[in-house]
Amino acid sequence: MYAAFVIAWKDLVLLSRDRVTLFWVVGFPLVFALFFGAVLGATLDRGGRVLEAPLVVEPDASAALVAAFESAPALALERASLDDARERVRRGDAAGYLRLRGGGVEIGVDPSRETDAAILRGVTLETLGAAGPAAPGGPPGPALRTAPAIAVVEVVGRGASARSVADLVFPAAVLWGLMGCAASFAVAMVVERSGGTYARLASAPFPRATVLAGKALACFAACLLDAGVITGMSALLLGVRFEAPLAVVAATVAASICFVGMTVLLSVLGRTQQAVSGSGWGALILMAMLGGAMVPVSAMPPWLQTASYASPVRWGIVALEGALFRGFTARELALPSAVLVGAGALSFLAGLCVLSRQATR
Amino acid sequence: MSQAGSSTSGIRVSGLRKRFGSVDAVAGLSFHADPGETVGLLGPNGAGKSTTMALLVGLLAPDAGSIEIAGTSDPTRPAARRRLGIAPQDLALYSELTAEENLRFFGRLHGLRGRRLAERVERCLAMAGLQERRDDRVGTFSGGMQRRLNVAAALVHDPSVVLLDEPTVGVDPQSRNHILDALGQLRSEGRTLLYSTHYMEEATRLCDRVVVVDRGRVLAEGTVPDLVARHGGRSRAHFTLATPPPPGTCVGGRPLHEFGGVLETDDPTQALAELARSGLALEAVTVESPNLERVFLNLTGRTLRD
Repeated sequence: MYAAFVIAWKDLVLLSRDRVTLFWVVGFPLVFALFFGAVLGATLDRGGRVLEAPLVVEPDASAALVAAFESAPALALERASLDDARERVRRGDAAGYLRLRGGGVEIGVDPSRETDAAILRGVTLETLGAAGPAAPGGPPGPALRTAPAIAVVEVVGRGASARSVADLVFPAAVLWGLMGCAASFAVAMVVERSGGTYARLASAPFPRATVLAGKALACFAACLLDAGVITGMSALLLGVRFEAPLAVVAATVAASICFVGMTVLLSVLGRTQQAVSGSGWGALILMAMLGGAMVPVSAMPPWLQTASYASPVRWGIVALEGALFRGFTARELALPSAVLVGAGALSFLAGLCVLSRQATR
Repeated sequence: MSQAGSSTSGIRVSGLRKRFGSVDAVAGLSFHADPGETVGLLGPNGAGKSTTMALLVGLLAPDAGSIEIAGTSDPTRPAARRRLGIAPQDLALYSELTAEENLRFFGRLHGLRGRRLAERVERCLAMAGLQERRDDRVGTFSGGMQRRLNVAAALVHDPSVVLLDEPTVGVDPQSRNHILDALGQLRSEGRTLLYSTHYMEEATRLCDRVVVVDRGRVLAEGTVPDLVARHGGRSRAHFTLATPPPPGTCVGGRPLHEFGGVLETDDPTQALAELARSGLALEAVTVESPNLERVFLNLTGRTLRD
């Protein structure tokens, strides 16, 4: 184990002395946070997309109101109980819910998805406008007889809630940092493997797996340091508040483990520095695009939102958002964390298999 | 205390084979280096020298054959590796670390710590002639300095068996001389050295025995004088004529061309006397004795290699 620590320390010293790599690991995620923070601060145009939301229909709800909403072209509503609807919004699975009771409408919104929530309010008003009320003296029809009352309630997590754009951008910034670490260490691994130093490491008096363990340890430490720097900068410069720090640490550790595993897999995508650098960043950017680290998942079409679960970045964002402002319980945090750790372990093993086959060929 | 001279510090290779696709990189190689002996592995590019080195340290797994090195038949065993030092052909150093940091790192990997580590690092820096540059990053070093440090890094854990894969490639004569002096010192300490090279003068200067390899096979092995006697051929007297000889003139039974010729002989003195008796107007005469280079070319041919 001592040798693994010696290798890890050496790799961290090398990282600290390589300014370009250091930028990709630490500087770029901060640039990302500032840039996308500004972009997301502005209103996003949803175009003519259909908004999905749970629909709670209370027994005393107006049949006309229910009919009006269920036939609204801009909405794709799925009936749910109130508790279920609130949970979906709190977990970030839906931007808001509609609750129809008596002659009124309650809109429950996720304050961290301000744009979606605003669109839901707009679509609700539009739907009510199209449905009635009936003109005074006119014949009764499908239209509503009286103007419904609209109440907007915010659905927030049990703990904190997103208070600023910085809160929303923080998870993606951390994940960009971890992706930077993964790419940098994958390149460092192939450089080591293709250079003479690997011969010296592999002929040292410990199992070859120790070399990999040392590199993984260095990558893990770099991921945690990186996330720590981004967290500190986010708190100091962007005003992000961490009201459940343990949950954030747990989510960060899980995401770090995932990207340590990814590092090993990325390092075997090619046999040269150029090949691993190109294909590694290509794969990571695809994961980031699909996982919502470039464009929020909520702005994607439904099929892409489903597909985004194939990206570990999506699970990282779910975990970090849940820990930061969705008030996830330990049990709720367990699923994304387990997926992240599992993806990391599988990637590590896959990379290890390829490395073992290459090593003695 | 040095590990040199240990009874478990020899190398014995028998029937070693390694194939990459359709190419037999090592095709039944057998040789040995007794404890304390310096053996040269001499061969052209692509002869299988580096593959043999990689097999000896366990970086590659052989397809067939056996290796006994540093007292074990399994070079991947930690006990064997502690007695084994390797200077790979590619520079095995971290350019962003200083000379001292590199040596400390490789020393720690072999379990050295504290005073012992400091002593070994100091000694290796001195051996490489880099004490005054110890705190400079290796990336700022000249090629010769890097090569010297590359050899020193192989020795930091005081191994009894040292494998050196073309350690002087691309260095200036001063650095080459420094490296060869340092290796001569190791040799006198009783360490076993396996020295891969295609520089004949290095093999002649350093090695107790030479194994000539090509296409993964041993072509010949022995001491340099022994190889020269067996495979070096005859001496050659090259002479240049001041004026063209009469047509049909022969010396030593061979016709002369306009400017001179070559006499192959076992007795250069007699050949020179014959030239003198011929009455030809000689401008210059040089006598070339058989040497290791001639052995090498006679055994491996003159065809260009990749």
